Amino acid sequence: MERADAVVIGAGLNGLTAAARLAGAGLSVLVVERTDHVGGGMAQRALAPGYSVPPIGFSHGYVPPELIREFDLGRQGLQMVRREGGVLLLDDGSYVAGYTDPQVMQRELARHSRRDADAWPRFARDMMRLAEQIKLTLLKSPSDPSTRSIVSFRKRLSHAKEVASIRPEDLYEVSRFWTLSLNDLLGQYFESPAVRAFLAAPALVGRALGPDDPTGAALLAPLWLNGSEGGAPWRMSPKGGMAALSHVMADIVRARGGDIRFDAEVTDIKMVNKKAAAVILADGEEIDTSLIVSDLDVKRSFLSLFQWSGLPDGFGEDVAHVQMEGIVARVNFALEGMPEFPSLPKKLPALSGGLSIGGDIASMARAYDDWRDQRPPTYPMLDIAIPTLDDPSLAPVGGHLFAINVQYVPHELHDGVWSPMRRNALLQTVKDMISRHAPNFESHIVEEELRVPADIEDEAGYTRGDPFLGQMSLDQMSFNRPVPGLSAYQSPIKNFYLCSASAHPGGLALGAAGANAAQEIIDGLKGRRS
Amino acid sequence: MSDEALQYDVIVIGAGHNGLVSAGYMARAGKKVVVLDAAEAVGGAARTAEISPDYQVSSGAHLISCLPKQIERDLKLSKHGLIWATKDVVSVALDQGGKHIVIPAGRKSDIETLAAHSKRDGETWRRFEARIKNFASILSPFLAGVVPETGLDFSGNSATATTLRLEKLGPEDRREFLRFVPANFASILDRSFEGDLLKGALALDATIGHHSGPNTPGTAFSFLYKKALELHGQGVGYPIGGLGALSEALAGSAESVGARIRLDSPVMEIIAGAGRVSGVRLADGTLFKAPIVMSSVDPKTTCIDLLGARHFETSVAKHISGIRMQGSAAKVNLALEGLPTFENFTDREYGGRLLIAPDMATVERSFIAAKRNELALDPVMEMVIPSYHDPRLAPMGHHVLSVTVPNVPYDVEGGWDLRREEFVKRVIDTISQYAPDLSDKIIAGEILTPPEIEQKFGMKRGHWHQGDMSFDQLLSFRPAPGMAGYATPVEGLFFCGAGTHPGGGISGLPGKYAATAALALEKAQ
Repeated sequence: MERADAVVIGAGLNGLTAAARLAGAGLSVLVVERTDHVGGGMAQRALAPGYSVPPIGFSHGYVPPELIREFDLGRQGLQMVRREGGVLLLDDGSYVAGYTDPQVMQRELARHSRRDADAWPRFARDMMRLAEQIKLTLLKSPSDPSTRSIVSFRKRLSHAKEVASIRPEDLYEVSRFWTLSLNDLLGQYFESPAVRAFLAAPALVGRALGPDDPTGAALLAPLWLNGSEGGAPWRMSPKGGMAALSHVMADIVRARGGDIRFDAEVTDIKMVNKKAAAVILADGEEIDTSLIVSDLDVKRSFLSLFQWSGLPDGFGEDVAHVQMEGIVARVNFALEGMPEFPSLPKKLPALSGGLSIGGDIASMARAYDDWRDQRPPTYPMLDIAIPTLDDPSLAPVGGHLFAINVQYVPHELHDGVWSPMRRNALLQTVKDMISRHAPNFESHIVEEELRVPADIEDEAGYTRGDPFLGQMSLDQMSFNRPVPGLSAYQSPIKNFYLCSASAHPGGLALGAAGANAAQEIIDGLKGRRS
Repeated sequence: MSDEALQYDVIVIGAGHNGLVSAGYMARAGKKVVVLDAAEAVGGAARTAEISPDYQVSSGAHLISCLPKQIERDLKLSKHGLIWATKDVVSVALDQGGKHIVIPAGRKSDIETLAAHSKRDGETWRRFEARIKNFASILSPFLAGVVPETGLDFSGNSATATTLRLEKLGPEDRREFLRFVPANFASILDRSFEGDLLKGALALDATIGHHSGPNTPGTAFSFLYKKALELHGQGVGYPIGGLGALSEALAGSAESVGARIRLDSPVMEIIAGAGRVSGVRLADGTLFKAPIVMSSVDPKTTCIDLLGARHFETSVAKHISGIRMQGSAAKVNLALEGLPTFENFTDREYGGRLLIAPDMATVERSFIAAKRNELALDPVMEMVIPSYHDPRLAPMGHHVLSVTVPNVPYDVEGGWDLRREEFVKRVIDTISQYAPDLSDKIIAGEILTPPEIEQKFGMKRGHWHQGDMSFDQLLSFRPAPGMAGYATPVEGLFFCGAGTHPGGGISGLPGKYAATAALALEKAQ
């Protein structure tokens, strides 16, 4: 019977990061992966001969520099590329482009509103300040306010006294970033609807929230985690695509003595003396271990996949009620040549940061309402990545790829499923929206595909296709993530841990959940309380 | 009339319940008070009027749940005609099949009925109710008085006291409280209950009068806030003679200690100079002078329209101009030949607060419709048959039905002239699903659309609370950060309406706290 000190279920980035840290701490680690590739949802695929579509999910993200340093990711072959700030195309053909250079950014904003250009530096400064605050929380386990110790009570009391002594004006200044709607917060800086739409669009992708819903303001700061030189925030993606990140981490796991096994689906967990003691694979093989770390989402980990006995009362229900939403569909187009957008300048470097199409904030709000009502969207928000602009090797010569996150697509429809007819209609809606701005778009299409949230669920294993493995709403973050009382990474089952984005800090930082889970395990092994 | 005759110690703008409460307290403190209102009757939205000769109903608000006994006593309201028809109205979630659910408020028999619908819901109810009560009692002290200048240190509520209260919750509930506050109520309800009807009714409870749906973040907090405010009240009920009787009692009480109430007196301007208020001017030019002006009109209208933005610092004026006042409701009042037949109704249900909200999705959809300036296909609503406990509202054996329909847009697509009949029909059709003989019993009826509510009751955009009750517009931030103490940057000018702390809900507390603040400020000078 095979044995490993630790078995990690799932070779997604978080799972691999956890594996790498555990291996680095001297444990023998085995990563078991259901598919034939690393990266989970983040796997690159061929759409048509020569066309390599980016994985589902986001094309950019934040890797904490601490992790880059710890794993020496640069030397391992990872290159993070900085992208420009993206473009928003409005219905009337006008556009807003984002530039990382502050002066160019302000000039661009001034095209729309002089006042907005003047307001930009204050906005950027406020966002950067918030982003710095968020960064402090990413690589540690959140502290649980429910602990009983005198020390923590005293801490809570002093914190309360601090808050109570803040002037209302100052308290408002701070709290507005958490309480206001996205639209209202943006409206406190910018008057131009175009500028507001430009800033709102990327914040909403993957979120089950509308631009007018309270607390939506909190969606902005995470976009600034990679920093900024005063212009649009930097969007960083690995050279070679998001999959490259997982590949590098997989190499590190192996270099540290860990093992990764593919086509190895875990079908059950064996319990011995009420502790998780082994994983059982589809082919019946058992692998003994003293530590199981799951990179699956919280519902898959505890509800749907394994036959747990002995889950505490109410725990299963808590997990069942974690808000996980199907909200993003993926459309990929393999294109011959680059479609022309007559209303955009011939050369627009900002396009490397992506292209958003979907009207203004009012359109986004309506699309959200349609989603809430479980209707197929008539005018969804399109978050288009064109990775071939920076990396032509992803397509044959002269070819291009449009990888589109279609925001506000329901998991199921109020009156049925995503039938072939409905799928075609959605695909056509997307094409029509693009054709409105690029009239010959359809003639460029070599191949196309659509994945609705249910498809993403099947392929990538994210329950309901939720890109964050659990919505990152304020009631499901920090010490309440994935469920209250789960203490971030430990579970009610001894020796079973959760390291996926369902845990803190969610999708805010790549690999952070895995790193934190491993740290908690390592600290526990050393007998230290975290 | 000479100018001297129009010299007062205090001018109160608006004879709604809050204005009248302020007037009552100020007059009792020995001040010479005049209350000015544009309408031909006191009360604002708390008014009783005829639908048809001999059929009377509370035209606007139809229930009182947050009126403190203290205010009743201080202002001697019972002496001036406030007699409760009932203070014990139960909330009933109506079911088309007659299997209604009375929302248990600590009553064992109701919990048993709930359990008959769903064993699980019956089991969870007690814990849910206890939890809500605990959470509400954390919030309730914050509503108990004037907000002092600094931060969250509300009167009687030091940071220590609040932390201790949170400590008493116990670890699990404390964590749950922190999850509760930013959450959408739908997620809380889904976690606690399985029955659609129960969840629909509670979701309606949380969102009625607000611009939100059960899935909107902050709605769990709205529910809590409402419960916290209700802890200051005396139960859910209404006076004999409708809500107008409350307003008349408040008016009588104020007048009995020398306050003057002038109706048909619309205030057009608040006069101020050198940072000090000096009086008001009516539409007909009449000038009233007073060193203290208390406005129960919404803060935005008060500051921008009546006073003028120039009297405020730019940032303050900007904030006040930006106060969100979304969310409007319509009122349908019907005169009936007899009781409509609701299956399985007993005394309790007929005298109850009847909720039509079959599930959370229907409540959400009505919100979505409102956002689109459309009418909901399946409107949700809150109904009362006040003649059940107060038979004098209608001729013998006849009744009146008072219906509040939330999530009705102020600017409906096509305009209200075009759509009002369609709206009334939808409302009646919806109620008829529960009481099929309703139409046969209708003798007369009236509908008040949001613009009509605005016009008739002087409520801007028909908004109940003079400002959305969302996180950024509550407590220390209501109506603006630093202006939650009822005083304004203009000396002598005070807010005393629902647009100030603790917000809307016919509690009279804004009026009372404003008077307290004004008197305290005067004393300090």
